[in-house]
Amino acid sequence: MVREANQAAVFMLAIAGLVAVAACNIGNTGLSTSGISNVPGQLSFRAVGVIGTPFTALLSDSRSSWRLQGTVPTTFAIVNGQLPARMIATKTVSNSNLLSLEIINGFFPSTLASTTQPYGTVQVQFGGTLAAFAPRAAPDVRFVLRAPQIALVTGNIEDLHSSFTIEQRVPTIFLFDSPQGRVDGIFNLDNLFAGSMTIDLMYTSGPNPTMLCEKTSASGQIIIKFPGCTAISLPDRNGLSAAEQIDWNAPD
Amino acid sequence: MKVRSVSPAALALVVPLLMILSLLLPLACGSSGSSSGGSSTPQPTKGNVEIGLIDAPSSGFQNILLNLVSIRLNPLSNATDANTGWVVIPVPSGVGGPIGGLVDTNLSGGGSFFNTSNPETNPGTSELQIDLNNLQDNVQLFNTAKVPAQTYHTIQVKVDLNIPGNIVPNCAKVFPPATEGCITYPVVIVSPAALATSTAIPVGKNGLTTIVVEINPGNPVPNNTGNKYNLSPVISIIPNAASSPAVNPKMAAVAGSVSGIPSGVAEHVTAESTGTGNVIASAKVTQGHYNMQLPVSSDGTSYDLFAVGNGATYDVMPNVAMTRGQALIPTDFTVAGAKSGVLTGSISDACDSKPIQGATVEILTGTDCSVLPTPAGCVVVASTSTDVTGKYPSPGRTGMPQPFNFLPAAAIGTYAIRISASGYDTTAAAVDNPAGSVSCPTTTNKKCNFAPTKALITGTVSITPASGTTAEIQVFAEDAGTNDLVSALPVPLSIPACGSPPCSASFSLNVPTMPGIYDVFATSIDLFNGAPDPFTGHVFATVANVSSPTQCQAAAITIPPLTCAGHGSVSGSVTTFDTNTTVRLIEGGVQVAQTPVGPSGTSNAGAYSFCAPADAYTVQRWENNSPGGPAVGVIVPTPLPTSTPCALCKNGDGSCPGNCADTSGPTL
Repeated sequence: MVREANQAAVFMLAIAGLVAVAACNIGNTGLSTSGISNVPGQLSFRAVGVIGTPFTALLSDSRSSWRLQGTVPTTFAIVNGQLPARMIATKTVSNSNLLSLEIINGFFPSTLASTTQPYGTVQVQFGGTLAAFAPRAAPDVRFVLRAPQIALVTGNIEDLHSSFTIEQRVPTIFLFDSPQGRVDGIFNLDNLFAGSMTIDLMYTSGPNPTMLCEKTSASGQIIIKFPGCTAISLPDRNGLSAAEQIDWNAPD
Repeated sequence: MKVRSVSPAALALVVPLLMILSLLLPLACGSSGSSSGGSSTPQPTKGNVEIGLIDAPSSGFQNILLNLVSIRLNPLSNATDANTGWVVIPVPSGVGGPIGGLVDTNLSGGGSFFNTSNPETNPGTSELQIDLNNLQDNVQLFNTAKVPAQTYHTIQVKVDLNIPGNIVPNCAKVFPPATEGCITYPVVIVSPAALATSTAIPVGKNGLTTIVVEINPGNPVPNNTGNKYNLSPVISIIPNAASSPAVNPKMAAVAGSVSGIPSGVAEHVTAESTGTGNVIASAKVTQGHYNMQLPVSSDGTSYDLFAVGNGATYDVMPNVAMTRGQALIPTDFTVAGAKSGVLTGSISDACDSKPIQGATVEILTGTDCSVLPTPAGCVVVASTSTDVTGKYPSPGRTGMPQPFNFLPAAAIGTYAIRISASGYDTTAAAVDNPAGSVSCPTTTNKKCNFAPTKALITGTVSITPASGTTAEIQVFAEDAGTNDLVSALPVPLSIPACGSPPCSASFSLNVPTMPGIYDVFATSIDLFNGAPDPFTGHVFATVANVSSPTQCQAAAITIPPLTCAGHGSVSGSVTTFDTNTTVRLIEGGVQVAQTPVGPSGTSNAGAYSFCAPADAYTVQRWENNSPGGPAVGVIVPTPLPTSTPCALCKNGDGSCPGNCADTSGPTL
C-alpha cells in the first residue's frame, strides 16, 4: 500500500509538473517541453472602453461564427479556433462612449480598433483576410465566466479529443470551436479571496433550444460538463415569460 | 493529454499536491511584481494623482488613435528608460480598478496591467486606444493612483511601441490623389522620447494632484512607402492654478465631507453626466472626506453628484453646474446607516419571451422617477446590465460590491427602476424598499421582472459581393428626422455571393413602439485590400419615415441596393457654434452620420468633416436636438475608376473605385 502510494505520488507529481508547464503555456507557441505538440496561443477578442457600454457582435474564424452580446469590458476567447478570424461589433446605445476591440494573441495585444459614434460599428481581423464569414458554430458551445469581475481564472476546456489550457480575467466567454463529443471545463479561481465564481455552460445544437448549465462555487474550483450537468432549456420557443419558466433564485 | 482514471491512493494525494502546486505555480510562471519602476528608496508617505488627457486640435483626420499603456512619473528631470524611480499609472484594468487611486474613472482596458515582465500570469496586458480627435479641448479622465509624495520632474506617456496606433485621414485635397483616404493606416512614432516632458509636479502628502496632459499629434504625414503615417506627438502639461485649491483650468474641483457614514462602509462620491447613468468619476471617501476634479467643457458642464456606500443611504445632488477652474468646496453630503435589500429580477422580450441580454437596468432616486420621460432631478444611483439569461444585476467586483445587492431602505416613492435596451420601449416602475425587502409594487407578484415591448420592421437588403466572399450589412433605425438611433440588427447580415447579383437577404429589426415613425438605413461593413475598413465604400441605402405597426407586429420595407461607390470625404466649417453644435450628413432625407465641430479658440475652430461614400447628400447644422440652419446640398464625387483587382468593391461597369478626393463642404 505504501509502495502504491509512492508510485501514485510520483505519478501525481509528474502530472503536476505537466500541468505546471501547461499553465505557463497560455500564449506560448515555442518548443514543447513535454513532448506534446503545442497549439497556437490563446486568441481572444476584448471589448473595452467606457465601462457598461452595451454592444452586439459577430465573431468568425474560418469554420465557425458566433453571435455575441455584452457590455464593456468583456473578453471573448476562441478555443480550438482556426485562423483567420474577424469580429464586427456594434454599439447598441446612442451616445459617444468609447468602444474598442482588441485582439489578444497569446500574451499581447496585436490589433486595436475603436468607435465613439452613436451605434458605431468597429471591426478587427487577425491571421489574414477572412473574406467570408463562416456558418454559425455547430454546436455553439460557450463557457461564460461571470464573477467576480477582476479575478484571474485558469483551467482547461476539453472535448473527447483534446484539452486546452486557458487563462483569462473575467468577465470572459470562451467559445469552443468544433468540439468533438462531450465537453467539459475545469476552472480555478486563482484569488481565493476574490469571492465566488459562476460558470454558465451554454450548448446549442442546430435548431434546438440552448441548454444552460450553471454552477457557482466559493471554493475556488468549478468542474462543469455537458452532457452530464443539470441543464435547463432557455425559454425561447414556448411562449411563456422567462420569469415564469425558470426559478432564477433556485440553488444549483 | 488526458487522465481518466487514478488509483484511490493517488486520489488521496490530490489535495496536498494541488496545494503544493498552487504554491509552485506562481514561481514557475513568475511572481507578482510591483507596477512601479522600482524606486530604491522606501516611500511610506503617499499622495494621489489624477491624470486627464486632452488633445491639441488637428484637422484633416477622422481619427488619430494612440494605444496607451500607461503614464509614468519620475523625480528626475529628463528621465529615460535608463533611470530608476519611475512610478507608473497604468490604463485602468479589469473593470476600472481598484489600484489604490482615490478616483475611479469610467474607462477599462480590460485584462491586467501588472506583471508586464511576467505575462504568463496576466495574459493580455491592459491597453487602451484613445482617439485624440475626441479629446480636442475636452479632458478625458485616464486613471488615478496613489504614488510616493514627492516632486516629480518627468512625465511620460507610454504607448505600445509594437502597435502604437492608427490614423484615418480624410481624402486627399490634391488631385489626382496619390493615396487613399478614409482607410486605416498604422502609425510610426518617430520619436517616442518626445512623449515625455520635464516640469515640476509636486505631489503632496495625502492630497490629490490633478495632472492634465496635452498630447499634440503634430502634423501626421505618410512615410516613404505611403502605407504608414509618421506621427511626431509631443506632450505638455496644462498647469493647475497657482493658488489653492490648485484647480486645472480645464476642470472643476469638487471636494467636501460625507458625514454619518456607518462603521465599515466603503463610501464614494460619484459624478455622472446630468440625466444619465454615465459615470465620469467616483471618488473614495477617506476619513470622511473626498476630493476630485472633473472635466468641464468651455460652455460649462453639469453633473449629478451623489454619495453612495453599501449599507448607507444615498445623498443626491442633481444637476450641479460647473465652470472651468471653479472650486465647489465644500460640497458636503450626509448619509446614515440603513438596512439594505437586494434588487434582482429578469428582463425578457414581451413578444417572444426570450431573455434580453445586455439590457441596461438603472436605479433612480428623486421625485416621480417611475414615469417616462424621466423627470429632471432624477439621478441614476446604480446601473447594471442583464446577463445571457436576462437576469440582473451583474456581479460586483473586488473592492466594490454590486450596489443592487445593497439598496438601502427608504420611504416608499424614493426609488424607481428604469430598463432600456436597443430596439425596445424604455420601461420604468416604482421600487419599494421600506425595510430591506425590495419589491416592485406595480408588477405581477410585485417581482421586479419586466418584459419591454417592441414592434418590428422587416425587409430585404441587397448587394453584390465579390466572388467567394460575404458582404456584411448592418441596418439601423432612428427616430424620424433625427440622429437619435434606437436600434440595430443584433448581428450584421452576412450575404454570400450569388449567381444572379445583386444578392439579397431578409432582416427583422426590433424598434420601440413609440414614437412609431423611423428612418431606416443600411450600410456595408467593408474590407479594403483585405483589411478592416473603418468607412464604407458602398452607398448608404435609406428609407425615410417608416411607420411601425402595433406591438409585436411587423412593417415590411424594401431597402434600395447598396451599390459600390468608393470612398469620399467632405470638409467644411460652421460660423456660429458652441460645444452643443453638430453637423449632420443626410442622404435621402435620413441622417446617416453626425460630427462635432472644432472647438472655439483653436486652429480647428468650427471645422467639420465626414468620410462618406460617393453620393449626393445634404449637410445641416444642429444645435442640441434642433436644426440650426437649412440643409445644404453637397456632392461627394465618384473616384476616378481604376483597373482590377479592386481593393474595395467593383463598380457596375466592372471597374474599381480609385483613390478618393476631398470635397469642400458648404459653410453652415
